[in-house]
Amino acid sequence: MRLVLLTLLAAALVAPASALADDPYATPITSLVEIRLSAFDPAIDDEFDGEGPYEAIFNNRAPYGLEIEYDRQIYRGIGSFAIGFHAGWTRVKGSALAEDGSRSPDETRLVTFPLRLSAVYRFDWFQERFNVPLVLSLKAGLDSVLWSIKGEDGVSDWEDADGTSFTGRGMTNGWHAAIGLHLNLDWFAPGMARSFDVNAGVNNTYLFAEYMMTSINDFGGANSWDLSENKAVFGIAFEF
Amino acid sequence: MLREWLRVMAAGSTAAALVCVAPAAWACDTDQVQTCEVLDLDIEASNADDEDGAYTLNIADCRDLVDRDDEITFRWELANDPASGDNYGVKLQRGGDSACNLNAPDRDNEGTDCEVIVNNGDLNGSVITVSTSVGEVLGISSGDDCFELGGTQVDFRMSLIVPDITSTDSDDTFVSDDIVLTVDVQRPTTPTIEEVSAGGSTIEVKWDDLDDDDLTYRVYYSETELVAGAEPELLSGVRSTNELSSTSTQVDDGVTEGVNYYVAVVSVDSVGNESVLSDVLTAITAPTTDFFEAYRDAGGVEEGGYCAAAPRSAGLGSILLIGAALVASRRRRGDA
Repeated sequence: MRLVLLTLLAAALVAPASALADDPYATPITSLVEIRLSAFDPAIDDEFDGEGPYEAIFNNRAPYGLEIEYDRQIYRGIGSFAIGFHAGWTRVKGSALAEDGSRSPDETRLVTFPLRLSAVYRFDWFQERFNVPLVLSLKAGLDSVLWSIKGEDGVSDWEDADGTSFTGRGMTNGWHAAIGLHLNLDWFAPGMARSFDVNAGVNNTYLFAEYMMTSINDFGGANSWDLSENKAVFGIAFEF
Repeated sequence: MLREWLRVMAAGSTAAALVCVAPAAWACDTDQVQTCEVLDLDIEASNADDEDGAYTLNIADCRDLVDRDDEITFRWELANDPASGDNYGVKLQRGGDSACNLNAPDRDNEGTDCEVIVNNGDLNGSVITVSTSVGEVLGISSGDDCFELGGTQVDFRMSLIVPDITSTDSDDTFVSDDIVLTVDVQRPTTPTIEEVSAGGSTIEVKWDDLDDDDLTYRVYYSETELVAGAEPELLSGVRSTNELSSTSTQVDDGVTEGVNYYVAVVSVDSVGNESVLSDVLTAITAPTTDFFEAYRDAGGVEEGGYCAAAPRSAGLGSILLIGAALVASRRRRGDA
């Protein structure tokens, strides 16, 4: 963080005012889309002592999942404030267990579809005022994660010893908070950026890294598992 | 008519090779014979090279074609219409390419592996076809005899002999390129099956790599007993995979729970010949525990479904949907 602040300060002192910000031909900015990539590593096993079922079956795999975020900006001034909507998809595959507990050739999968509604603040004042290519973002919001578990014959569907039926499908809710840093690629190629704006309406293009905390357990519900994650998210963003 | 010719000429001969009077350029693309081919031969597609006039019958093809008494038709097309009264001959040669006297269209001076298929046939047009059965060409009557042809790779050459139109001597002949049928009954090395394991509806099979880039593998599996060393083309009612370049696979086609499966693997060479079956291993398919069952068995509290969490889930889901709708509507207003 200290390095970031120093970088921002140094850039603000030496950089000229933003050429794009002052560009009378620049198209107005209303929205931002992020393509987000992150490892899926839920805290399902936290409710168990020792090795939990996620580790036993998925061997603690953390496959990458894809997420798309659309932010609609409702305020622009000192930074911008937006309402964001995310939709994503992740899938982790493992071996079903044989009767003796060993791994069998049958495959079982956990598929999740996270949906998130966020309040997003992006502090891009340094970029707009001093052409500093770094933008800080803060996000917080509510989550609903749809999930599905597949067994050998499709969605898991079985009865326990008491005759209770279970279907491997559901939805778990929670919240998230995130802090991120966006690097404006336009700063490296302003001519290309201006052309991208004129031709496609994209004002800014960013690479970003974000630290995201999620608490997905139905707000501590007694009958809910824990799909919470603390994870790094990487991606590319287009502001238009 | 042609079959009569064939039967007449084949009588008394058990020679399995065929060679005909043939010209000398591959693909028969010469000034005198421009096409020589086999029509509608039901063999593995990659073994039929129409351009070279070369066709390979692997073990399965040989067995099937002979046992079904399939017909085979050889076809030549002359570059020019023949003169009235011209004749032609067709000779079949087994093994090498010197068993027949290709300088004469008749039976003169043939070796024991030469068979005259057509002797002094009337040339009524530029297209010549000769039909017979595969068994007659190979000189066998049963698919089992494919292994009795005198070798693991035996050539049968069919040649056409026609008058040489470039010669002023009416007795001079022109010999077409051979149409070559190669019967390849050489089986590749049998792989060693290492491990078979079963899930509820999947069988996993692993075997050793034979370190031969020309070989692929195929897995056979069956509810009925398989025997090591069996010839795979004789199996019936046994499922098999496609050719595999890996050394392990999972099969699930037709696999059901609670069944004892016999599993073997074979190698497959470039002409489609398979080795005999490897050792046979068995595996019994049995129910397995998927992730959700394992989670519940371990004492997990999540019950799945949407009803149990309906109040909260429905509420939050509604919020998310309303949020998405608001974003969309603002965008539409902004566009307007």
